[in-house]
Amino acid sequence: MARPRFVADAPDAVRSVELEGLTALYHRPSGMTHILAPPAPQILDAIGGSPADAAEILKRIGERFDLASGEDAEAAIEARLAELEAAGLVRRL
Amino acid sequence: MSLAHGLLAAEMGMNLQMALGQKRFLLLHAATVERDGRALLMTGESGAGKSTLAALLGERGWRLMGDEFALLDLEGGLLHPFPRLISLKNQAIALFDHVEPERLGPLLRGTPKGTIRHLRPNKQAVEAMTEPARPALILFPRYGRKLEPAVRPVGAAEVFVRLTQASTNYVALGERGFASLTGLIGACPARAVDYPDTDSALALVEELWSALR
Repeated sequence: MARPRFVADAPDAVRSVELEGLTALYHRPSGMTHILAPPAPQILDAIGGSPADAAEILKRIGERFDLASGEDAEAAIEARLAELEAAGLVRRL
Repeated sequence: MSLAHGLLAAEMGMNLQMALGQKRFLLLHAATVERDGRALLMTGESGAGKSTLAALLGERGWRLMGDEFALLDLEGGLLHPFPRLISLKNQAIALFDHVEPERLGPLLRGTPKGTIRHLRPNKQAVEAMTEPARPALILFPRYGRKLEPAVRPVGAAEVFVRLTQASTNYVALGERGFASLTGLIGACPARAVDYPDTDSALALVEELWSALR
């Protein structure tokens, strides 16, 4: 079964400020404010305007950060994607 | 509320109007005092003592900017004064026995908030009521008779969340509120302060303020 792919709003739809390791994010379309812990902001950055599944997101993040790979890492990304989806910051295609 | 408590009703009406109608500033439920052109912002839950502390500091060389609302400029990040009558409650009333009698209102007993007496801000506070100040320090005081005096740093994300909760119009202001609040947090250190009595609170405030320089 194909794994779900996710899309986020365009980068200019959000305004974010780093607050000592966490990120305050203002989502312009909804007017809602979110506080995100890593790697959620990195996931949003990695999706950018280009939809991806967890494996692809992990690969994109790995190009910029040194992080673990494998099934556990993908599962962790999927868990964060589910949270971001519930918060309205990503959508499933 | 009885007619005898009309002054409290008027105060609550004014607060409600400010809380719901103000659009020019990010409104924080906080007390503010100023010294040397820089402002100290204090916020906390009801009973934390921010109003009493601000009023006491206002009689001890600081300028009282406001005991109830801090008005944060949406563009320049300055805090603007709102020195309305201070609503002294219960035990705090006796701390101000020494002020000029004409600055004290009638003693209102048995109100929904206990015994209340209003205190007019002093001449310095009223004369400077149009002069804003740059925020320099954020404090989260907490009063408890059995607490040991203590100071601890507060992380930026926690400050952000607590100040959004302390704001009456953060959501209504949208992105402008987000920008001004994150700007404030980026510009100021923040500390939580526990204190068992007003003397130790005032000493901690002076100590923290001196450490800023």
